[in-house]
Amino acid sequence: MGNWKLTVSEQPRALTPEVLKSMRTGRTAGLSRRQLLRRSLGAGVGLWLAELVGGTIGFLWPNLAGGFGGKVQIGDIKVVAASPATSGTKFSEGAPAYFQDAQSFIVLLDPSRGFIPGDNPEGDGATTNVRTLWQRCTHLGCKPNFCASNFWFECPCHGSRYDRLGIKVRELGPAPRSLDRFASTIDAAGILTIDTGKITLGPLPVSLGQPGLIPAKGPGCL
Amino acid sequence: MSFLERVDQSIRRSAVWRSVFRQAYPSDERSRAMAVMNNVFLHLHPVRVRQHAVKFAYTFCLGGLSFFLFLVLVVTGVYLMFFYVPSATQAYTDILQIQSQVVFGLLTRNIHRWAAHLMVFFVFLHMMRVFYHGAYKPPREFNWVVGVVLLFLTLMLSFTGYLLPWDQIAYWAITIGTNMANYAPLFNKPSQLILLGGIEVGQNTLLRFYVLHIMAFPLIAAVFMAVHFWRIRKDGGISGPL
Repeated sequence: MGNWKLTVSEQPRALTPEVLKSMRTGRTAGLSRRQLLRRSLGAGVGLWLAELVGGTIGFLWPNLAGGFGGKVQIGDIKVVAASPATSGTKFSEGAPAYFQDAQSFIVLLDPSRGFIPGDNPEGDGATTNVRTLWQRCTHLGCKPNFCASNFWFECPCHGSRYDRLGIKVRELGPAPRSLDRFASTIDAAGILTIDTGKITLGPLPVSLGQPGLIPAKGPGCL
Repeated sequence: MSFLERVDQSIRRSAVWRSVFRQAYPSDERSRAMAVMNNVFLHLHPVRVRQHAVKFAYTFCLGGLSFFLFLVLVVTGVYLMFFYVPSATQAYTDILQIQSQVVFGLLTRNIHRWAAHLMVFFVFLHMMRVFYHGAYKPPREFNWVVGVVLLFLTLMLSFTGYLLPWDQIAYWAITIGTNMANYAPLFNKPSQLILLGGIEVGQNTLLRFYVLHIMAFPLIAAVFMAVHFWRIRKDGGISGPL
């Protein structure tokens, strides 16, 4: 490696300008100084680019805490009741509340009881009496509206119907399953927090007249 | 021939490679000169510089450092733009979030801030160096004028960036700065109205300063910088010792 491997005929030479010039332009054996510098520079720049790409990905990675995709703190039952999904309906009578930050409908399983502190990992409300539904219609993702007259969710896009607890009506509309649910918790102070990063798929649709589906209270809105 | 050399050769001989690089890797003085002349970025610079021009203690690299800081500011500025909304209600919160929530956000903002301070400082020192060397004298008198425009643009970039954090110091600094425009003869009030986009510092001012800071002034400065560097070559290279 380097220029020390000179042949015998080249070794004893006076460094006249001509000799210097020929040494500058002639090919060197092994790794030349230029090649070494070039490759070191290439490796350095390559390492730097790799770090830059890594750092950029870290910088641009979305921070989901506090927004949709992470845990969203909603508030206690008074806060929830003050934000009905459809004006004129009452949360305390079983109508859903709606929070855009969490993209969630919040509904009481048993309207005669309030929040029960606890963990609700499946989002079905078995332990906390609160079901936290994702607003996304399981057909193609529109937001179903809550209809005050029949107490059902009705999707404006293709007419999928869900009861007030998000159970899909089998006969009405193309959605393949009930509304999906977010995990949620209610702390000792009664504050509801929805974990919008943890989704449980809704159960299969239920036919009209079967148990597990709440019948319509009156004519629909669609 | 080793495997790596064969791969290397097949890449260099491909039509794609040769469409990008018109000549082989420069190996002698003539082809090295051609490589500089044929490159859009390098051609702004002279192919050869005189020996005194690369002496550190002659230029102290002040112009080069100013340009380097400009590049640092462009890159970190682009990064910061991903997380900043020029809204009167959101801007200050965004700054706090960049510092506390974004990975490397505090580092990025601090680099941007310090590079901005240093750029003003180095541009000033560069101007002093050119002045004391008499490097503004013919044939370089026009490049001095371009440099003065660049100094003005640097200060304006600094001034417009000052408002963006939207805190108390920013608000009142811009209030004072734009009130100074009020003392200009003839076009005092109109110039203040145009700058502020209203009668006091508000949402319109923030948006105006943001657009000037991230788009208008950097673009104009880049054009003037290109002319500035190109004129060094056209005016006979860096001025020599007297």
